[in-house]
Amino acid sequence: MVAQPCNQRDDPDRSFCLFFHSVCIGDHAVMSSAAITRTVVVRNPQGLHARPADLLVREASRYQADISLEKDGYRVDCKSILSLLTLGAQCGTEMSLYAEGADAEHAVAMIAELFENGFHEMEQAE
Amino acid sequence: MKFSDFICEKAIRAELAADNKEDVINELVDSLLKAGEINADEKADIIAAIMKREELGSTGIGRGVAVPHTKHPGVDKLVGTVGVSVDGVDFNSLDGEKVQLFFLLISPPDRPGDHLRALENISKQLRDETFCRFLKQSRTSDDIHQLLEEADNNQFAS
Repeated sequence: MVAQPCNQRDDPDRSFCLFFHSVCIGDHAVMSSAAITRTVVVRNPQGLHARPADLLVREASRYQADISLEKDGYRVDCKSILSLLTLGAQCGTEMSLYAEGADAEHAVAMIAELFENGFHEMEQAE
Repeated sequence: MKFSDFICEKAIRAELAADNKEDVINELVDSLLKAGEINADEKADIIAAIMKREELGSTGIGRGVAVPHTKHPGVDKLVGTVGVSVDGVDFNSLDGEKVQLFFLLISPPDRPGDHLRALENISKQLRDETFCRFLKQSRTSDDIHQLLEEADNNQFAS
């Protein structure tokens, strides 16, 4: 794991970090890998069928973070289309999106946006 | 949803003759026609619709499995069939592997929930490597049907 947060300008602990660099790397490594969670809702009428699942896998695979989706306590890998399809998530289904890793925050933001946009199929009839 | 809820037993095909994407779809849709699940005058339209869906992105979802499908007003309930190819077919699948197992689905336009539940069932069962391997090794439609029944009866852990 690469610990880089010390270089961030908005890091309030920056001076502290620079001073106690080794300690800082240890702390921030933990912080940067903390799991990020967000609730997402399936918006498109067709639900999480094969094409949205394919889109999700393609997006999730751009990130190093471990990314998963949980529905009713059942959690699957967001980088596997076969796993995503086992969710059988229909329109209106609420799920928890988890990401853990250096780019977790970005991953969650981009994937949540895909859900919000109904996987780009809100307007079109399939 | 179980396989028996949407897989037409009479339309199951072992040892598919086709060796390319369009021929596989043709062979399976033809099998549904012969089983009486679709009308002869709608066959060409259904095949065209399935091919059009493939253009949006292959339904070859990896592990040697594909789920070619479409919505079509010619059916009033979800109908599907299973085909097994001994040598596998190049299906432009997402993982680049040849496809040996085909689950072809045709659903009425207004029933997205049934289609999702069928996909859910197929994907859950196929996560079991034993079930997947046995299906790929099947050489008769009876063998395939029996495996689907066993899966329906939860004989493959999932």
